[in-house]
Amino acid sequence: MNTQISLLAYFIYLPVALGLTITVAHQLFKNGKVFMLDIFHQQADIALATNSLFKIGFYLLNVGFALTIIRMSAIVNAESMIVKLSTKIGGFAIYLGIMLMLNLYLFMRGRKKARQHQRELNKLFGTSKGIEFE
Amino acid sequence: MYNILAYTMYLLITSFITIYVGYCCHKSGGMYLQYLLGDHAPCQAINNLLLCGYYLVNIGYAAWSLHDGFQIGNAAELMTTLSVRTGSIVCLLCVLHYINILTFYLLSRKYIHS
Repeated sequence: MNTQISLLAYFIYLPVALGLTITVAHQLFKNGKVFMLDIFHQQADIALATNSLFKIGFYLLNVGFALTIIRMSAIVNAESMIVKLSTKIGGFAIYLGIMLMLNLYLFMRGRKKARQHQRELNKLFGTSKGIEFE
Repeated sequence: MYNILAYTMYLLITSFITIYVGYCCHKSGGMYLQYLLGDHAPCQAINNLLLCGYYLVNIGYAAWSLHDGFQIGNAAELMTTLSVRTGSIVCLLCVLHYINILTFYLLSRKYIHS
């Protein structure tokens, strides 16, 4: 009885956690392309390559974390299963939200830096010839 | 019986993840390297060597980490052990991945500023 309820809990937790991760990563990096294009001065190939590298990193980090925290102790009946499961999934969702905000902050910061750099180049070499000298 | 099943599944899952992630990183990493190190650098060679080293480290570590064995009595424990082990391998992969990105970023800054 005990083993079966634990097993059921794991079988609910895994698809929910992995599905959440995939949804969040998909949303984040679908919208992150715009930032990446800005950071790499509209060079599409390198921007998309970097975007997919960061996407891989995001998936690895969050899937790894979701799998590592799977251990749920003392599940004796259906009620305790629901309580444990909710706590786990809720905690994981909060963690995902923090990660999402952190990534967004990094995107914003990179974009700001890239714009500053561009402005300095323009100031040094004049607006039209900046790229040639560089 | 559960132990043998766990070992088989563990090795299959970790090798699949390692190889798939390696393939993805190799594909988009080439472009990134070319951008950071410039066109003159032998990017493809660096990329291939990195992939090779990555496979060695990860599959090697995944196999080596079986040295203490699993003690599994029932299906729920199988699930837990398998997930925790796979999760730690995936976290390790993630750390290596970010270290790699950071290293190339720092290297490229050194190149450009010197």
